[in-house]
Amino acid sequence: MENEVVKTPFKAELVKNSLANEKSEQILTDFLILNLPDSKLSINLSSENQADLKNTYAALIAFCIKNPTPFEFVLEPISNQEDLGIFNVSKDFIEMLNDDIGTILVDISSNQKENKMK
Amino acid sequence: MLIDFHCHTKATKKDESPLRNCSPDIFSSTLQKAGVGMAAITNHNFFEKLYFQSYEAACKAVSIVLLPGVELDVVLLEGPSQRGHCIVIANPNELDKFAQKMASLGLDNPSAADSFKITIADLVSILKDINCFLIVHYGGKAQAFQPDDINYLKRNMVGKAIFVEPSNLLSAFVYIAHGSPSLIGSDCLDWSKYPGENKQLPELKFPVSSFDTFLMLLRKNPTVIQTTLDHSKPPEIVSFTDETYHDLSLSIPLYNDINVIFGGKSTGKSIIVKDLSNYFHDHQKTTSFYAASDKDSDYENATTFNPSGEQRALAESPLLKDDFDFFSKEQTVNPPKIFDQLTEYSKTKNGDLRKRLGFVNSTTIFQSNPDEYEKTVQNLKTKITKLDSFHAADFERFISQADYLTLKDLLEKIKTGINSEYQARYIEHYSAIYANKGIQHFKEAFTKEKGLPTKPNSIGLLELYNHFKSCYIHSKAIFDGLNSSLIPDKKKIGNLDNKGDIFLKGEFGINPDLFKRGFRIASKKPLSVLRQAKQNVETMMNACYSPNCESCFSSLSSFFLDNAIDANSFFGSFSSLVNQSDLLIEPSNGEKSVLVLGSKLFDNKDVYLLDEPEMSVGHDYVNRVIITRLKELARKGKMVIVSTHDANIAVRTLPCCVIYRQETSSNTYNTFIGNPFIGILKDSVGTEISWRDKTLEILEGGEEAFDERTIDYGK
Repeated sequence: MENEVVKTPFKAELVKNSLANEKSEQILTDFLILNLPDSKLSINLSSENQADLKNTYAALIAFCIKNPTPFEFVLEPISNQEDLGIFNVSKDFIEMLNDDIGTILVDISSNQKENKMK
Repeated sequence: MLIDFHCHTKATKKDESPLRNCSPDIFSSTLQKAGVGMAAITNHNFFEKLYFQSYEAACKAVSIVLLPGVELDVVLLEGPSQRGHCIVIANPNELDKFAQKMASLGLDNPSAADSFKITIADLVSILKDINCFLIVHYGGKAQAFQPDDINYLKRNMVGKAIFVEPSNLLSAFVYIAHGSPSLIGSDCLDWSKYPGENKQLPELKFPVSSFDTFLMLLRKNPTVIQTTLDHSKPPEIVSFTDETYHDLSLSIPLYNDINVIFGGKSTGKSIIVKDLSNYFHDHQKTTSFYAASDKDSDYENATTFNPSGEQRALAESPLLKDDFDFFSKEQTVNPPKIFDQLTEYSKTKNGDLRKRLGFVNSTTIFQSNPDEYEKTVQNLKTKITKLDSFHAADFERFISQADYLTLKDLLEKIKTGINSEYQARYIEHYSAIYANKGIQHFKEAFTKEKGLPTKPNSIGLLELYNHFKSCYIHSKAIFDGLNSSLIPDKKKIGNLDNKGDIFLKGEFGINPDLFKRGFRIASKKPLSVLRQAKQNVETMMNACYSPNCESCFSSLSSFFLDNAIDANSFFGSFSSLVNQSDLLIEPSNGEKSVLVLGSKLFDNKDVYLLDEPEMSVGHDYVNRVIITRLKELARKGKMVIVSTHDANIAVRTLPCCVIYRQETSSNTYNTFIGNPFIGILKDSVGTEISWRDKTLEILEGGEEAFDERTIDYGK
């Protein structure tokens, strides 16, 4: 199969962090940690901070440029995640993320052939 | 046309070289080859009618007018042992009469040539009723007449033209300048070397076809001269007025030849030249204008490299407007706020309608790239246009009808194939667009109807990537352009005697890092700004796939906007003067004049207007280059108008029109117009002044200075 794409799985961890606010009220925050070989990228699913998300995306794109080998994220959930009601969010997000990364890697590969990129 | 009134075709004397013997055919073809239009046979003490007529017929066949003549040994007044040579040239209309006179002296027998001699008194007597003119050896030439002999001839041959013949043309000019009509001929010793080493034959300004016309021109008959002049070169009557000088409301006959303006200082000569320049410019004539007073600015222009539009376009071609436009618009790409929508959607349970409706779950955005589509379509359209032009061409003339029909059939098939591909691309492109829009509309309609969120179309990663990629492509295109090499250019602009050919060496381009001191930036933007712009572009390019992309984009966009930087901001050029070996040249003041004047003189234009071209260039340049070139331009039928204080230019160029400006009283001026052939200049009310007198008086300090110029003529 000459066109077979070999994908390398990277871990995506769903992490629930406890952050204390000034009034010591415990707030549970959901983070998706993307484990790349040279860094950990975290996405705060609850706050949906655009700047954070953008920085994460930028780092991810930089990684793709540097390592244009096909890969995908495999979600490794925390225990009882389904009870927390966030499993599906993460799962759908990872699914869409993998689709975009696939498209980006194909584009990078073709552009590198045409010498348009570093 | 050249004239030669001293030709020997027969060695009649014992001591003459036999190489003088020449057949009619060789004689006529040799003269024709040299450009001689009128000549005379002047053998020593020999003239015979039939002999002359054989040469006359050969010359007539090649349109050369041949005059009958003879060179006589004359006993001079000083004593019987003193001989002088006198050439007698007769009117060919009186050939029989002249031949009889010569026969009566025994000159129809060449064997008598050695012993023949005639006294000066007998010469006067025998030529009394012959229509002729004389040329006597004079000055440094052997067998020369003395001034007393010439005066005797003048006294006793009233009405006949008498010329002196010195040893060369330059001496002849000096004699002419001092009022002694002078002519020289080849006196050729060897027809294979005609007209002889260092020999220069006199040239008639206007073609003359008969003996009578030549004599009338010699006698300066004004009507004949003006008629000949106007017939030969019809003048253009140029009328103009100038407010600076109230008398300057003139109509001047200007010839497609040399026209000279001279006069005292501050008499408006330069203004006339300028007004004439404007006149010809208004009349759609191309002009080459040189004013010594504008020399410095002209030098700057002549030695400053001005890249052509094509050169500039070539240098700027790597910089595209689209690349700059990309950074001139505010472009922010933020990932959408997807998590709320995704969270809500993710709560979809089994049995939910959304589980069963595929479009609700769809995140498939059909890929469609408008730029690529447009490029492809354009490419296909170009192919079709080429095919159509092939159809329109007249190719069936070159091949058989059957071949042509086969070819036509194949071309039609190709066209059909191209159209099919075009249709497929069209369908593919617009299917994607409408499918994406359809899915979006369905999702929106579902949410509106059911109050339930659908799966988001995008998480924003791909959009951000595309934005980064655009930033990279556009910034790299600009940076690569700004990093290009300079383009060299080199063209010859003139020649300096001791430095050889001089070149204007130019460099041009858009890379501000390569601009050195002296570079001219077309947009006038400071070099530091251009270098900063390039640096910002490079920073942008390196940050494209990083979180800093956004801030770099804003920074570059603001910089372009604040400094009005676009694709046309970077063009710069540099020039220097170098010699053949590429060594830098720093011309002196005089050399600058030579370079500027040279470029004007050798430019190809309809009209040449020169104001004091002699200034700062030296006598040698005037004689060797300016006068030679002006005569050359006149021969080509170009109009040359030159204002000058230099006698060499005013006299030796033999101008067809001379304009003399004179200040008659304070702020009152008069203009005299004429030519040196008539020798009279007239103003508007008919007042006459002598061209020669004014030439000697005004040009370069008067007659005394004029005498000293013999040294220059000798060069």
